[in-house]
Amino acid sequence: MDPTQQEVHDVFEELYHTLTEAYWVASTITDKDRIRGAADAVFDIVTSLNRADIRSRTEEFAPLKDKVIIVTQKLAALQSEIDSVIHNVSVATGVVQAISKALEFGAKFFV
Amino acid sequence: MVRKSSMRTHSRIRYSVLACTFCVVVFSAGCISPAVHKNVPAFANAVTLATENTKSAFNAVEQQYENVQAERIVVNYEKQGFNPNMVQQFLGPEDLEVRLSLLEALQQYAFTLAEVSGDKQLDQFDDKTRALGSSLQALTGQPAFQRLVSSSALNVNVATAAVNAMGRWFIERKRQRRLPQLIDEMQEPVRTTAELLEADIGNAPDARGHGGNGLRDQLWNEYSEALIQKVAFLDHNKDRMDPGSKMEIIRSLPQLVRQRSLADQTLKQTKVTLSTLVDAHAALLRAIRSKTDIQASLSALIAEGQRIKGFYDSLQKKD
Repeated sequence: MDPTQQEVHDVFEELYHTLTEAYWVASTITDKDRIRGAADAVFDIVTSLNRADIRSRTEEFAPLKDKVIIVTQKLAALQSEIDSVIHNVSVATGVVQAISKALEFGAKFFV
Repeated sequence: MVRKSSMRTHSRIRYSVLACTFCVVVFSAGCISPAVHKNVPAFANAVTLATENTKSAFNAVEQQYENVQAERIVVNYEKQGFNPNMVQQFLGPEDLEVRLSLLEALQQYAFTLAEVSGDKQLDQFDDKTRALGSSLQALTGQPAFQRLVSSSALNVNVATAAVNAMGRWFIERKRQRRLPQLIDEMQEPVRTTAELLEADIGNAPDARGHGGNGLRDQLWNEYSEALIQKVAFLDHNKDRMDPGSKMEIIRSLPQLVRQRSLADQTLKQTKVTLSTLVDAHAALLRAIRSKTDIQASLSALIAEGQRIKGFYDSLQKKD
């Protein structure tokens, strides 16, 4: 059975942890340098695994954004529909004002 | 005098019948916008917090990764020199950009939801119907109009209040039919967004180095690696260093250990803000789905009745 991504990660992480602990207790600079060289290499491997893990999710974000945009557009359409109700009242007011003006004018002209 | 008093009484009766009719209609239609609108700010704040914290988390990891590479170059310079290829980014800018872009879209959703569920459009509608009422009053007051219209039974204020109440009911009805479905549609994207970002944040390794992943694991290791590089530099150069510089590096070591822990706690807290995002949106859903609370409906009925009266009175004052 193939190991999981986390299991592979744990193997290298445990190795890195062991190497760093060994570094702190090493007594000579030569031993420390040897351990540090190995720890640096394992750090790079674990970094690559973390990088690949995060990048594996990058593609999943774009379709989510599209879904969010679609719903937001539907909300904006609802807002426009409500705006048109408000606008219709303005139009009615305009019509009444026009009638009022016509009557006023007519009254002056035909008196 | 008696006739005027009788006309005013008829007007009040018509207003009362009108108010009761529309209150019954409102009661049966329900009123979800206030419930939604009340919960939108919490959701909007949660989105803002999630955006800021996610950006900070990615930047912190990138910054410390750069520090580690710089420390390594310093320690190994005498043997390996410098090459620009030694400097890399942990992640490409597109990885962060696509995540921030989604969070910005969520912020726009929260903003639009606040606009649609709020009172701004209803207030605009009230202003427009008042203007209509004033225009109708001006028209019916004209002698030319009165000559054309034989019946003087028209009560403009009652008609205007009717237009207002009916229009508001119509607006609320539109919201009630569409908002639940739209908010429901968003719950899955919000939940998935939080899950993906929580996976990005990940976990720090345990005492044996197990269970670590994501940004927390990376940042923890970066601090550990920085400690090793600093001590290596000190070990190789302590005989050539002045006491002051030596002391500075030695003092920075426990500070780095502390910063490692603080940085991890900050990223852990970022996970909490992401789950708050899901909870805040779920609260919006609950506001819509909750069964009719009879007390709340009665309160809404009373409030709408009072609002109609207030609107009607405002028309009377303009007469």
